[in-house]
Amino acid sequence: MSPTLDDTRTGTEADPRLLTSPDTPWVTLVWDDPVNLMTYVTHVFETYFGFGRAEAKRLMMRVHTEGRAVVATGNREAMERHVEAMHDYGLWATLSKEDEA
Amino acid sequence: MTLVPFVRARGGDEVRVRLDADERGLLTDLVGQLLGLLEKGDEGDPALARLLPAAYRDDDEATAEFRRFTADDLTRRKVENGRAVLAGLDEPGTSLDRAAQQSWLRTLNDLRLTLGERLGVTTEGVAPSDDPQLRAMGHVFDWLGYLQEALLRSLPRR
Repeated sequence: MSPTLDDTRTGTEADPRLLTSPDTPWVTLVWDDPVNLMTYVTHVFETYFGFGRAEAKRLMMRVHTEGRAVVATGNREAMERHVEAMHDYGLWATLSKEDEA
Repeated sequence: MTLVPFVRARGGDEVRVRLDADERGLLTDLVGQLLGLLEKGDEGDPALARLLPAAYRDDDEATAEFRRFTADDLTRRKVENGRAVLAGLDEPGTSLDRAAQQSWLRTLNDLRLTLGERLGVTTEGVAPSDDPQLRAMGHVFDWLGYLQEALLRSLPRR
């Protein structure tokens, strides 16, 4: 991601998998990309997933520093809907089984 | 260049576009090119591949199936967003409601993804070049990022 003026790092807090359901082993991953602005990725996480600003920023920083982040967990159909929505926004997202992610 | 390209009235939801005629002309041209790519682009074009990326990393079959079910709708929505932007560029001072704000954000992003692919942008940003055309494209890429950042900053809270 491109750094922006709003490049505020936050510490590690809660587990990111807020949408976890234990018997549904698929995840939506968002991958780092050199074009998308950090503020835009944060905005997408806030507006689409409904994360608070701090959590959205934390996930965005995870994408930026670790190259990817799990942003949702659930059944395959739900993850396909999330991936399609991320592609609407222009984020680079994929889905996979949780144990293969 | 306009100093503050997007302004929201205090307490309101709508964002006013404050681009001058040259800026609106440039954006109109770029969005027109984006629509051309989306509607008539070559499937093998890497820019188009970035706009409609693979949904699975290591499963070509599942990726092809996902694409078969989603690519037309994704493309149609991107085209609609681009047309919504064009509609706001005809005259100065257009006001964007929340739906139009999202169309603008996404179209600015699609333009940056497309130009970024053409320019080979990396985490280091736009590579320096002696080619005047590539340098001009690099400036446009940076300008689009500036616009997107300014629009994000002007948005109403949810």
